[in-house]
Amino acid sequence: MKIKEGYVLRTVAGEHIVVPIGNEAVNFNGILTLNNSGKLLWEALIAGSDIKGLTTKLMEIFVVEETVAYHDVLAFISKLRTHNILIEND
Amino acid sequence: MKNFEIAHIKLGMEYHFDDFFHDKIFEYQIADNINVDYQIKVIISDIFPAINGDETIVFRTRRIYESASGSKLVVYSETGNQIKQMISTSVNLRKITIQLSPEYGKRLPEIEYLATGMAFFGIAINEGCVPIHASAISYNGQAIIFSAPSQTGKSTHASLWKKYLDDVDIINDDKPIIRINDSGAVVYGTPWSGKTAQNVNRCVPLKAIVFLHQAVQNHWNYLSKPQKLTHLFRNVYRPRQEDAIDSLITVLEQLIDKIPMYEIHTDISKSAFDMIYHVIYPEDEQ
Repeated sequence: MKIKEGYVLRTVAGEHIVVPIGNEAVNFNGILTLNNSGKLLWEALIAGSDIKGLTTKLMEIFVVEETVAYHDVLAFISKLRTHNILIEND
Repeated sequence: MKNFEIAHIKLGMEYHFDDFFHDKIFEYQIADNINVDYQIKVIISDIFPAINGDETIVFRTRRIYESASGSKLVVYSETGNQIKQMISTSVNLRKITIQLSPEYGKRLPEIEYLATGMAFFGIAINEGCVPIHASAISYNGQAIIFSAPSQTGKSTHASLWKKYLDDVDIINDDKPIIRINDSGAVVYGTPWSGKTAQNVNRCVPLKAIVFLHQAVQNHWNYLSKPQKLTHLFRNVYRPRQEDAIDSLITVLEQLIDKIPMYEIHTDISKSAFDMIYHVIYPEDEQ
């Protein structure tokens, strides 16, 4: 799975935000705010990853247990699905 | 083509209807011999030029086609077989041609007003300004911005300040322009002020921005930097291009640093006005 084209990640006033551009700016009128783990997952999904890869990455960087990392990944993926930002069958 | 200076931006504009601009637009007029940096021209005709460029955006009856020379926003009829509107924008936004089909009939003045406004707001972003969906007032030489989605009570709160205080004017009742300067930020009126013709050609230093929510119980809170950012993003005019988004972000970052912003949940009573007044002017025994 990976992030659709048409979204840019910026850090503004210390806040990580995702802003839609181009065609996506027409479909999604909001912005997403990401915490540090969200930013890490987002960057991994730009290149493309899967639930297992994302979970492992969170465990490595934030030194958390697998179940905690796994649930954080699921919550993040669900948020992206809600806004139709993910490509899942690549 | 008449020349105007709006929010410190010099542009020539050729338009056809005064139904929404009224005579207010002439407050912004400047001499014909002054050089302008932008041109907006409105044409009423159903003979549209050929469309060239790559189709980059598809949204309901709207398409955007982009080429080396610029972009074309084309609005089709519901059936899709007829062009109703074509906005051709040169790469650097210097020349914008808005062509409207006569088929719009009685709605032409409104469509022209909206289309020229959108064209100008794109130019404003290009010039480092921020058009915000709000009602802006001036009080004692300072500007206060009431921002919120439509039908939340922006204009109503602005009118409360006019009712209970002297020396209050409406700078713009729908889309004031914010510009950062050395001492902070200033607010400009523009001829685009929604359904009301409430706007003045003034530039007033910005004191505070209030984000309004309707509520039965009056309460408020300061906004942290991250909260300021999300509130601003929800209420400012947002371009689609990446470079324009980055220029907008640069301005918002400075605005966040310089200007106090509050989230205020109120009804539209005198006590609501009193609360907001003392939030913005805590030192004043008014």
